[in-house]
Amino acid sequence: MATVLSGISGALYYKPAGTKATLGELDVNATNDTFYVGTNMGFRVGDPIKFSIVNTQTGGTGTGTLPSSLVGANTYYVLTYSTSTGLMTISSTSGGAVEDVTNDGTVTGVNKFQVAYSEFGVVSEARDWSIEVSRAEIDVTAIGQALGQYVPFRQYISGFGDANGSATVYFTDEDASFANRIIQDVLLRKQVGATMKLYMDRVESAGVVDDTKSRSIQTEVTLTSASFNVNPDDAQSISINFRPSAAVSFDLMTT
Amino acid sequence: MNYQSIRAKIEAPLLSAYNSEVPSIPVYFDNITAVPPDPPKEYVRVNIIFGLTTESTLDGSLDYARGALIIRCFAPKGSGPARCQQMVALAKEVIDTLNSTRKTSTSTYVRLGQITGPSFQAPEDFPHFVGRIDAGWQASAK
Repeated sequence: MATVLSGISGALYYKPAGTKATLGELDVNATNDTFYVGTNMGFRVGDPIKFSIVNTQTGGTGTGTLPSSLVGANTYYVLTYSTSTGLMTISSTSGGAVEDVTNDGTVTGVNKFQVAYSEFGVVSEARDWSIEVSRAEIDVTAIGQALGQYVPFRQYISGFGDANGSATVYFTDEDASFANRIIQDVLLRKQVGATMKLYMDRVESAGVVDDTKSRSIQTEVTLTSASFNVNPDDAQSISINFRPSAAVSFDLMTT
Repeated sequence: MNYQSIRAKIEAPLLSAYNSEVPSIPVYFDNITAVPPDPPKEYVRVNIIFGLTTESTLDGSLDYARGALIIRCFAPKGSGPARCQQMVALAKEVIDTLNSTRKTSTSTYVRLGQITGPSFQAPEDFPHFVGRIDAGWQASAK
């Protein structure tokens, strides 16, 4: 007999806002081991990041060579980032030594280096989440239909898809809480990179989330509001609203 | 519905935790007669109640198990509430651990809800001070 999934199988995962940037060869400084990723981004010290090469025209994989000695498959960690200068240094371990960059790498034309938050992080303070997916319908009913015994029906064609989501998170005394970061991300001007992964059924294998056995909805998001609820009777909570900034992808099967 | 696996998921870590105490604390589960030791010594009673275990549909029914867990800790009277609270706190730690354990595809998955209590009683005709917590649970069992 099938088992109804309950809320205990759900989870909320998040990639912080302002943690995806593209840069060219000139933005890599092999002398100072710095990367110019843009000012006023949301990178924070200790953020896990990965480098790749993207085709900025298609959004797909680009061609070129990463600065030496960066490896696309490796996770690096933000060592320093200045919102005013946009300069970042990285390390191969969290809080480790500055990664020695020995050349600027090679990208030309529409190809750019991309630095982005590497892995989704679980929002362990999340109480619930919801998402409403909808599509617009355009009324194309024509007048002049032949009248019969029953009234004629309206006709529609498909419009655009849309979605709105929300989540409730508890406000805790943990400074590094991911929930706290989401709340602050609402007012971040550059929210590129903010991504929600909403699990209906999170299943782990060998201690890590196994997406081949889990069911989820994933979308890049724009965080639109955060509503604080502080009163003497209840646990402090924050309601966060978001909407997709790109197409929503569904992974509802375990195959 | 695998009732046994749900029960085991909750009972096993509690038994392990209390058995690991020095000296170990006896745990009595459902359908095990607890004889209050004389002279009074510490012990724990654990009861698991199955509430609704199915959801009806128009075409049949689906498994969806929910119930309640009741843990009562018995400590000798006359020595204050501290020891009884320590025993209750141990149960709370077990519940926390159980709730932070992630779901795997091959096993029954149980999570407990909000913990009510502890509430304490010192019955006049009973040699023990009793602390009780309870919590609802949900489970998905293959």
